[in-house]
Amino acid sequence: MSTDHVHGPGVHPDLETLADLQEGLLPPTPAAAVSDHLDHCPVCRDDFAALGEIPGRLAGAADVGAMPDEVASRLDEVLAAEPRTASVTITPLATARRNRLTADNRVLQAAAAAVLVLAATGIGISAVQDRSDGGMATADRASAGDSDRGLAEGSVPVLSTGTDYTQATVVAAVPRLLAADGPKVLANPGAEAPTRASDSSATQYAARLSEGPALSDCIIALADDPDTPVVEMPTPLVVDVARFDGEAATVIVLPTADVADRLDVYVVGPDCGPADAKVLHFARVPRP
Amino acid sequence: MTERSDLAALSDAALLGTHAAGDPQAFGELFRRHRDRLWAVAVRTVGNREEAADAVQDAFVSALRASSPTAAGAGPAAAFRGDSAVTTWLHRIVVNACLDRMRRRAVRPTDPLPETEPRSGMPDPFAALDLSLDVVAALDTLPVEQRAALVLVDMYGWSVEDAAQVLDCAPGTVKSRCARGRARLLPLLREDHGNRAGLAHVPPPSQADHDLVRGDARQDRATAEGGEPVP
Repeated sequence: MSTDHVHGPGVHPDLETLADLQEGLLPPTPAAAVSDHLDHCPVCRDDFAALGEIPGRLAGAADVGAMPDEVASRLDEVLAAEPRTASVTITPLATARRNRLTADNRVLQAAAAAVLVLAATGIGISAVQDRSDGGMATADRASAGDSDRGLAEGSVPVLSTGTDYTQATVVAAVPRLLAADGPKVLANPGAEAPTRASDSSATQYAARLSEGPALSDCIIALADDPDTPVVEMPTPLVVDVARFDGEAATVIVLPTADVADRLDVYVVGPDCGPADAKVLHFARVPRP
Repeated sequence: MTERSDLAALSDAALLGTHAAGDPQAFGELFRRHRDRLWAVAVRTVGNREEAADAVQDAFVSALRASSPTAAGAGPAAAFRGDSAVTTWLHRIVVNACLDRMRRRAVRPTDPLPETEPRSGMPDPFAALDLSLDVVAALDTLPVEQRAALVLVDMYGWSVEDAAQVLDCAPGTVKSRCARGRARLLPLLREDHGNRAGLAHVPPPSQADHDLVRGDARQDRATAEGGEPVP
């Protein structure tokens, strides 16, 4: 900004210059010149004072009242509809495996088996690890942490999008489920908006998953089922509490054993566990 | 899941951590705790309640996503070292959502459209403005960056340094935006459009005559808006 205009008789600094002076933004020389001008110019002095009153006038208009109830409740609904995620801590199978699996189980390789323990509130930030670390439980891990159920070795996102999938759409949804950061999940135009009822029950189920061994029970049950192609128990890449052909269902995406570029997609019922290991749908898809 | 009463006892930073760890209730508690303050900033920044509601919604959804456990690097929650950092972060997201909306609006209230540009023989729209504008209405006529700075610093008492973090710019830029905003507000807040009428006060000379006709220096300041002001 030129400051030449502040010099000379009858030439006044503009309001910006006065405001800049007030904020201490003018370099020393022009600041001194403008100050000199203020000393002998009552008009500019008035303006300078009026500029100084503006913050107070703005502060006087600060109160807009509380957020209106309708805005707050709409926001509550929107936030509740966001895909919920829960952190899943992988611990070696150990005791749980021995209790559950018979000695002649032909599909589970004991050293590679792991049980998923969902950890929710008690877990610190440090335990939420990059998902890339949540791969297969190795033999070393399984033996080293044999009875240490608290050992955190990775995390798996558990979403509850409430999406009503079909055989076709569940396969197509895999890439965006894996992206799992949220925006793409609800933005999918093909995804049916969840009703409040189904969203609520899905959220409750996700909460149940995050509180208990439901998911690990389910995956163990899947592994126990000789009709499923599970040959060892891998770590899910993502879990989505959703619907399938109109019924409550859970989508579990697992790496395909021994095939690096494939993923196995299981759709199971909401009661998936030792008593109900029925697979509603299974698909093997290319890893995106 | 943590009970509401337990969550209420947590600090903001601890709440975000609990949220990032998967507690579905924690973010809601954080939202309830800050919503009124953020609502006020949004209303005053965008200038109307409908857009403020949309902006706050955009902001909270993106805050929730950014701090969820599946977000890259477990979200920003891990970086917070105190409640003031959480407050700053939430304000930044809300103010950015407001600025995005206002920029998308494309036409600012004060930007004279070509067809309303004062011309010789045409009435100056400002000339009819005999009474001082309400301070909120006057604020709405400012460029969005100036408005956001004044709302934070002058209206809600943020320090220049904290406001600079919210606005993601240098403290000097916040000061400059505030100064320019105040200089622009003053004539609008005075019934007589200021007592600077008739003063030969502003370069560039080509604008001076126009300013004299208009009664103050509003026009040349408006046309001088744009890039970051550097004194």
